[in-house]
Amino acid sequence: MLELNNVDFSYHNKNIFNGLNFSLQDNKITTIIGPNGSGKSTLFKLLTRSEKAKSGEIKLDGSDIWTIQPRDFAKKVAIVHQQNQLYDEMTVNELIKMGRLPYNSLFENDQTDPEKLNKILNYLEIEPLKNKFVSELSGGQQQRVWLAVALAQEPEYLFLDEPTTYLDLHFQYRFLKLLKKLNRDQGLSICMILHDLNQALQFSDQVVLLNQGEIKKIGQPEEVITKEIISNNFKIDCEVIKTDQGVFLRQY
Amino acid sequence: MKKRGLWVYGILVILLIGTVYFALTHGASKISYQNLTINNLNILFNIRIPRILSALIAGASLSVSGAFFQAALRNPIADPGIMGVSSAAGLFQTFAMFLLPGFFFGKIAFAVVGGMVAFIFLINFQKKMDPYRLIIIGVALNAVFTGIQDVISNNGNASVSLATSTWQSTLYLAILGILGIIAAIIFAQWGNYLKVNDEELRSLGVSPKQMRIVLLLIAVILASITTACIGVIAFIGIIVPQIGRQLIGHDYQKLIPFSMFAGAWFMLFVDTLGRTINPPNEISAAVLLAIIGGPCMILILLKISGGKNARA
Repeated sequence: MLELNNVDFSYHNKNIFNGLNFSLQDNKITTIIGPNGSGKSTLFKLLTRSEKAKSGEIKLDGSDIWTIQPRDFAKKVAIVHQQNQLYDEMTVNELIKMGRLPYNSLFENDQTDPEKLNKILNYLEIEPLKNKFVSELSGGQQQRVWLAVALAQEPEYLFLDEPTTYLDLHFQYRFLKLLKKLNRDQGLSICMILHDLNQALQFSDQVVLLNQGEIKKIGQPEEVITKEIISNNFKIDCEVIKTDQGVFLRQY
Repeated sequence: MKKRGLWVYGILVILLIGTVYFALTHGASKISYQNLTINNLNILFNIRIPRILSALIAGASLSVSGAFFQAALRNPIADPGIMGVSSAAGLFQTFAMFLLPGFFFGKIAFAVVGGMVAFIFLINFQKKMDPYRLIIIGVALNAVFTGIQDVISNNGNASVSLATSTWQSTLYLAILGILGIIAAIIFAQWGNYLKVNDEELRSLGVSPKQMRIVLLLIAVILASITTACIGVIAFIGIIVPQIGRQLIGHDYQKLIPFSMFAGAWFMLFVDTLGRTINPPNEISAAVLLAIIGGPCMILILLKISGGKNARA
């Protein structure tokens, strides 16, 4: 269980959160949505230990996350960042092995069970790419490689910061389907920030709507993404259309 | 790749043996087994052997140091010689000549302190700016330290070079340089980790800052010790690792041993070339390396701006 209790956070003397409470549902896909500047990235950073709260508690399985050793935290929580950069050439295989850093000695990177890595490579359909340089891959392939690094950590929680930003529509849906499959097959708890509300409707079990540093609504996608709530918080005109294929948001 | 590695190391061993033999027998006076007089033995044991050993260890140390600078600062043209570390070490070593004349270890200790001063500047600027602006800061630091050094040297201080190698300087260089290189081999894998951005490394539970500081410390100590014993030599730390990346790949666990062997050979080759082109006159290794290294640096920059290896 990953939870925030009464968390305050400010940045450059500007209050972002005051007494924020939130808990991530285990084994579910939680999506954080909200307009720009609503505090999505800050909440993401607080949950992933990238920022420290001014006061309050953020607990992972009952322990304050800042009392957990960084490598132990990395065994439980993996992150796929919005922008990933390599400063020198690395093959897919070499990069994915880095996901085992929380378990391995820092002086030797070759103690990883090859079966374990092959399983991940096969699951994400990137096994044929394993000896290629990451720089040679397409955006969609690279995103799956970074996901493979996170999965190599064998985490309980997977956090993704706007994972579809740099992907075309085909790869966006392919990637989100892959996340859903991971959640269903392995019971992985997933938390991500998404801008596309239709994707949030389609791929989430729980949606958190943030605005002006407050959680305005939390619940199942259809409970949060309604005409009234979205219009009020995003300042747009929209309607929610229910069809046999699911619920869609249309904005105009 | 393994087969290629064997070829590369095979050729390096042959080049090393050939160059050592040539360096022993050629110079201001030619020496062969047929004319081993007492005078020639004296030249061999007291001049050429210490000089050859110094060149080998200095070349290995500076190349390994350059590779670690590039890994830690994520910049393919980072080098202790052009970033002010060697010139700071040289300047502080000159201070030691005034304060502790005749105490050789004092020169080394002061050089390391000088290298650390430049290191502290660099590590602080590194937080604030991109790798290329950092290089410009390094060049500026280099100019300042070199300028002060020139003022002091013009007042009568003899500078050190490979030509001034003695058994004493060689012994210090050998012991400290080899210890530094052993540390570099142990920490080589960290160079690979630093290919990944800091945010990702932190989310894997490791500290990029700690890794960067350790690699830079090893690099600074290696460069400072070398500067104390043979003077400031730039560019070898860029040329050798860059050739290594083309020949054996980007894995630092392979690149560091390659830099060690290839750097040792290259420095000896350049020094031997400089003293055998027109004996008894000598062209210093530092000058020859600048002539080769300048164009090499331009080529690397052109390749990077070509896009393939673009770095932020």
